Amino acid sequence: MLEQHLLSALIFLPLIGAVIVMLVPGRAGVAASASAHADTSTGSNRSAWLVTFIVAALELVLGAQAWLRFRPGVAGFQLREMAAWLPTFGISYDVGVDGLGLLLILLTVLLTFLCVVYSGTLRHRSKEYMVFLLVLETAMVGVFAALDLVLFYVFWEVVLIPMYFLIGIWGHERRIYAAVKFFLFTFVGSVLMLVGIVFVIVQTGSSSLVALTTSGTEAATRLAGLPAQQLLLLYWAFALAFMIKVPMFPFHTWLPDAHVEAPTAGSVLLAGVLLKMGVYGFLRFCLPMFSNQMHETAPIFLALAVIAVVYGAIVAAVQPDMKKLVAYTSVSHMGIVMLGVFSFHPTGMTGAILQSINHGISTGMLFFLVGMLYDRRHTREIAAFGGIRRVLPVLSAVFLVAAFSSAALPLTNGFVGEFLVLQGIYLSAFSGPLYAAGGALGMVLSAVYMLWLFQRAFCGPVVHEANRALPDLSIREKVVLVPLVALVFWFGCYVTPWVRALGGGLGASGILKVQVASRQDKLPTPEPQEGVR
Amino acid sequence: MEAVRQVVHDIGAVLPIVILWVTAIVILLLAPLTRRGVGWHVPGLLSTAGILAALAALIRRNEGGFGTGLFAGALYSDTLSTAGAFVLLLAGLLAVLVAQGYLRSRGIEKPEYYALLVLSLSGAYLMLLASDLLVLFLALELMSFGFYVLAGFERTSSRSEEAALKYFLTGAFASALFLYGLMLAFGVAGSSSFEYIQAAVGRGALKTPMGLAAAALLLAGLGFKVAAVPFHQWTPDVYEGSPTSSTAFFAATAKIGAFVALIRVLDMLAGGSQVWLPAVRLMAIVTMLFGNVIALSQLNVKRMLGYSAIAHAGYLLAAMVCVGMRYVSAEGARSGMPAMNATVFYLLAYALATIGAFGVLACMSARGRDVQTLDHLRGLVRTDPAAAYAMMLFMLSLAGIPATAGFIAKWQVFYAVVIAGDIPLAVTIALASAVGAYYYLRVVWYMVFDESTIAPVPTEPGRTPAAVAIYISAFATVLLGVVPGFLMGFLSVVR
Repeated sequence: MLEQHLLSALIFLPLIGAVIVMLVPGRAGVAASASAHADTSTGSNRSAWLVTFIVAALELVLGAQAWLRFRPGVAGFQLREMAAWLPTFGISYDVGVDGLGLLLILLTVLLTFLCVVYSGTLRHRSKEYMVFLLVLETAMVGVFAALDLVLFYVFWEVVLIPMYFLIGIWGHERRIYAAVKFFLFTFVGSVLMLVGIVFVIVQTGSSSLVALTTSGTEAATRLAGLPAQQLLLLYWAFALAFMIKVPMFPFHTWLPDAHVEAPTAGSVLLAGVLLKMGVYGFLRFCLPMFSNQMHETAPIFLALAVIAVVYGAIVAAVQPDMKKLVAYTSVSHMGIVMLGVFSFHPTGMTGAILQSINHGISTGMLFFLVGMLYDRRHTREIAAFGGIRRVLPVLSAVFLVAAFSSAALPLTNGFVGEFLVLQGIYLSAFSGPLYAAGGALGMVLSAVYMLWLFQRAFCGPVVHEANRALPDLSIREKVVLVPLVALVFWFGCYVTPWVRALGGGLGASGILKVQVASRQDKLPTPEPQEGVR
Repeated sequence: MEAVRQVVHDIGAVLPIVILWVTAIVILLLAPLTRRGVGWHVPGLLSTAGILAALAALIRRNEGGFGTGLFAGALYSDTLSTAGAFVLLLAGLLAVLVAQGYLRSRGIEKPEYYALLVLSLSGAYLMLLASDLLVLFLALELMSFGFYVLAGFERTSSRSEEAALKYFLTGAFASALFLYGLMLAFGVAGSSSFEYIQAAVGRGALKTPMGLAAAALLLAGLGFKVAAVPFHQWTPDVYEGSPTSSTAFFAATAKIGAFVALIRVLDMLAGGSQVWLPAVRLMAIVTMLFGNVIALSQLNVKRMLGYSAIAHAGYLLAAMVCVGMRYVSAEGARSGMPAMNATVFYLLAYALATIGAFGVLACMSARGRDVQTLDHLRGLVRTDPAAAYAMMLFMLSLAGIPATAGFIAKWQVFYAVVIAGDIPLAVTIALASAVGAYYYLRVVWYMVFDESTIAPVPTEPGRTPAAVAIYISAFATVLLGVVPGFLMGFLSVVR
């Protein structure tokens, strides 16, 4: 039973968990007695957390199971499941993974699990929180597993709802503004994508990604036979939604607000998973379906990506607010990822995917750490800290690892991804050395803002008296951070198994089939891990 | 003998309407007995039972295949009317449930309310079956007169009276327009039967000034009922002023009756659609944009839902454009049936969400406190999380977010419009719904995010039926959003 429905179990187990959490008795996150004080009526709910924890842990086990059953290097989608869903319109429940999807699903279940562990101390409306976290997990895993355009759209949109609540209920001062902005930005992009999806279905008679992207099928032939003008508009309908989600300059303005105002778990999942949905969309849908259009418009995207890299880094450097700084680094790092995607070079694309995962790990870590500092001091101002390395040695050490990873120091995961991306950009005929220089500038700047941040907040003498008595990491916090630290070095030193998984994955999503007119093809596609050994 | 058998058959075909009428009469006959406090809940229960019986009769008689004329061609029963009637009776049932606790809390629980509601419902039902303009007019009036009284049912409230008067005057005006159009159509075609008028249109009647005027007046009359711009002015005031349970009722049922009738009328006029299609298309675009943009600034939820009703009329008019294109082009011919299916499904999704939303407002109302504004809903999640999250579902459904019925409905409209090849219209719908998302979300954030004040939960008894209505609507909204397939077959116009 589980063997055939592993992916469905991965997708829907959290949803079942959410229903169970809803039914958990005891103090509902929102209490029935309206007269009681806020602190007593809306408390934590241990049993709700425990159920969520068990579900999230089971998700990890299922994810590992999927990883073990996954055969790298085999073309096509694996763990595939199909069932009729809306037969009137030929829409089916169709899920499957390749290396790309599987890696992102693993990242999702890992980060969600860590968020659940971290959120065990939540005191405010915790039952609702756990429900939304679990619904979010269902939707995120669904996005990376769906192989039907409409099914994908459903999950893509459902992601918005729990995140809207996570930001809006548990966020900081301007949470409502941030939540609505986040929702509306994404929603505007996606309704246009919906029109595009409907158009594709009407014109080709199929909503199956596999049918649409396997050359020779009727659907693919019809799609390719559409007038160039229509294909270009269709491409933009999809690309706009993904650009907003990534986010690419100039659609990035929702990101700092949402990241800063969101609670820690919300920021981690936003940066760690939700941004990747945009990258995933480009690779999974735009590239195989609208390859020519994507190539034609590449200069626009490359230029925007370089702007994002440099602009995001410069803006990040001058932020007085630690969380906002980390948020802007996401703009910069996602710019590098998009450079890799639009290099259309196998190395660059592999790097882009790895960098997506890496960014999830390193930025997730940074958001966790900023959240932990906030828990202690109730401020995120960099100026409120200073010298806390002496008070919090362990936390500071972990922060340094995260900073190095974010700044792409060799031996950390960030280096592997960014190096491959830069190599790909340099080699590709679409981008070339100029863009590689832009990307490299981003790497330099990332060292600037990260190290400067570390210096101001952690080094030197203890400036504020309030900082002298801060407790160092608790067991719970260590449990959250240790897996991430391990992954930073694992990816940094030995990335082969993950890249091997991607090999098959790239084949399935057609990335390697893209005609790459590489300028210097003397260099064969290098074994990606060579550079870091 | 043959004639008698025919009449018996015809009455059997409209059995649900007969049941509704009997229910209304029984309620009125029993009214004096229930007046004095004893058995105050009997009329509510009777009307609920009556509508349920009508629903059962409908499902029992649910005939597939092509339609049949009834009563010498005055009525016409086909899959469209059956599907529409199912949605209509469901909406009526939910509205009756919502009314029961609310009327009591407002101190206006009177048997006549239920009798009028059921009669109105039968009028809307007749609109689905009409195949003659004269019958359509009578059905329209039967439906509307009930609405007028229901709007003014809270006699002590000046706003309710104002709503009733506004509704009545504009409604009477619309009826007059419709009647005038009917007369002109009769003059052109020599008959008020759809069949004859269709034939006349086929002969080019719409090219004559009189035919054109007839078509324009008929569309204007129905445009009033569905609240399409520029015939929408009554909507916000009436929605706001009427008792919440009445608003819930006519918000859903008027749309169902009028849009199915609109399909029939447009079908009748399809032969000359090049004349009126651009007008309807423009009307759709203006209606959806206007409704959504004005709703942005509304702080009264009932008023906001009034503007939202206008916006949804716009989306449905977009489906009407596809219906109208059936005879125009090859794409149009393919888009007609999906558009009709979309309309019926949309009406169902809209009815569930709207009645559910008004139901939450009604359920939260108490003696001396009529819940209307966003401020009234502030912090609702802390006092009644179930109601708050049900309201969230209705708002998401109205906004067309996936995993709710509203998404599947909107998807079908997109599908029909794209098949018809009208991409600009599809993009307009998309952008209009993005605008709409803002004010639907605002309701959610007032209820769920804001914890500064707490909405008190009324403690008076008798709100169980309304809660049942809310739960049914919420459950159905999710069910139809996740696995819509099981009802799509039943609701589809072509089988």
